[in-house]
Amino acid sequence: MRSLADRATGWLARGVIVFLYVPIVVVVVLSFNDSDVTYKWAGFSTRWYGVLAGDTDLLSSLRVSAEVGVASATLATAGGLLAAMGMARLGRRFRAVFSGGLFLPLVIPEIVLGVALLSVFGTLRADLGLTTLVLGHLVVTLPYAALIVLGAHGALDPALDEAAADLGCNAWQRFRRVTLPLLRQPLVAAWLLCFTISFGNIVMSTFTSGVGTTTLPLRVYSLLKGGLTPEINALGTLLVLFTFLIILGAGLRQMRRVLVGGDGTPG
Amino acid sequence: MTVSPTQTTVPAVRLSGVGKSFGSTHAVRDVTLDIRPNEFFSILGPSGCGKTTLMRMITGFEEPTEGAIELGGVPAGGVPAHKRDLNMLFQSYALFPHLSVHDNVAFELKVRKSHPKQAIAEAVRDALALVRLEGYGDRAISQLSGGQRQRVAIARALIGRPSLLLLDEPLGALDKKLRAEMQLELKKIQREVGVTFVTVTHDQEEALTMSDRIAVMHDGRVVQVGTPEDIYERPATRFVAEFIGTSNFLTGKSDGAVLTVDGLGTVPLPADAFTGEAHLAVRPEHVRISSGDPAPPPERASLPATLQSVVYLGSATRYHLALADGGPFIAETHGTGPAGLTAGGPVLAHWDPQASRLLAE
Repeated sequence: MRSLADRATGWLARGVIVFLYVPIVVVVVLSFNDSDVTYKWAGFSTRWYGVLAGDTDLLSSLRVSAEVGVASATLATAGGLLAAMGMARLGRRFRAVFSGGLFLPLVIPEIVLGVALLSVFGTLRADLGLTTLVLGHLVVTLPYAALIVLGAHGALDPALDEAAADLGCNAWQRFRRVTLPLLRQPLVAAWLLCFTISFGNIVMSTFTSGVGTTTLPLRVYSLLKGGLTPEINALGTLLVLFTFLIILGAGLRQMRRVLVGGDGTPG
Repeated sequence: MTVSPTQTTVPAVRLSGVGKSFGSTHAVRDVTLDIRPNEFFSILGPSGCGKTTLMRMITGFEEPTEGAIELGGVPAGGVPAHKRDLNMLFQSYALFPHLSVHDNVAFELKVRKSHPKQAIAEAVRDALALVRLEGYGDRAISQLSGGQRQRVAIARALIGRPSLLLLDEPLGALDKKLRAEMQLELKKIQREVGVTFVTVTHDQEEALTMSDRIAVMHDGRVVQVGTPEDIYERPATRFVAEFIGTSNFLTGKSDGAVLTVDGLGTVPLPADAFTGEAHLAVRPEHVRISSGDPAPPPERASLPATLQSVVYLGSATRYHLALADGGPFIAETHGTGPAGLTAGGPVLAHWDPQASRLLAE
């Protein structure tokens, strides 16, 4: 006979899952709403998908977000990898200083970073656009990528690199044949996490986007003023579908290994 | 460029005054040493004696701060690890976890692009057969036991037929039974492939059973180089006599014929004894004990002692004695020793002076 506390915990766990997934289910259901407002059900329809397909403004924002996401996630992951490999060559004390500096942006409110970055770009008279957006997102994503890659790199046996050298690999071959494949899973996880952070970012985008480079979250946010239509839900549904496909296809195992624990190597 | 021997008569490794300091600490000091081709050579010493640093300088992971290293007659200074014609067996094995057994073993041939694909497959089969792991090629590293991992590491290190294989504490991670098995196996593999083996170990038994020659290291220096028998029977210093096997020591003043020890009297010395302050080392297995009646032959060295305890070891019996000055002394006999000795009673410890060894330091 299970105790009351056990059962309560079980129901609480189910409640948490429901709470987490209610918004996603609501988005999907309301995307098929044949109504001009999101909060009232007016029967089944797919017409908002048609509207979405013809909404060039929204689609160009989607394109900007995807481009910025890919660019900043790639740069952040590469930067994280380089930081990890470089720090492995540093002395103990220098390493502590460097990693402290690398992770500091994590605890600074994004709005402060955004204002600071805007001042920097202003001083440099840089035109706000894709480049500034990517750089801004890089400030936010790089510490996360570094955190993941650094942990995984530190868990590698340093003898593996020496063994590769001993077996005839020069520095590039050691990287290509040993370090990179061993870090593949954490690198994929870091990239996906950075892309997600960049794709959903509003605060940093507010300060660093320019004319013609409005990101999707900024566009959606601005639509609030004119009233949301189920078109947003249709877009959301497609994004959810896209994300699920990625996770099912590649990310699930890696994400769990890296975020829950384990060194990313079998056995 | 690959460093390889030009003649078989040149030493496989020549160390000339090699030293390495990290800041103000000297890990290795002034090591001069030749390792011969096809030799099973051991560098033996306690942890922290510099043996691992010495090995890492031979592999090229560290550069010496003093002296020079030659590999097969070619100066190795400035030659990076991946261009040296040698391989290393790592203590952790350092097998690549993302590659199968086959791909681990084939790694060097693929990197060096020295063989066509078909020849690689053949070479891997041969290498796995050498370490008795036929048919294991498709396994993942995580599916292997510790002993099997070591065999894969040996196959991987030998597939490129290096002139020299360095083994870092090769048996340290194995359990006792496997260790004894691998000792013989390594020796057998070394004879089969005809490669110079240099092992680094702190285990004197391992070094004695496997090696053709041993270099004993202490405090960054090589204190003695010799065959296992040389090292055991004719230790050069008190440290060697103590580190390899067990020795009893008597410290006193030698006049070339007898050693005068404060509080104990005099004991006769071996024929080649020098004069001055010295330590006399006596192996326990050379010491006999008796009740003193009848007296041991006059040519034997003898000291009165008190029997403290008797330890039965199965194939041998060990007697712990206390000399007149209270110092410990150990005697060991094959099988069970003389009857009628009781703990706490007086005994006479005696030995053949020629079996003892006078040491200056």
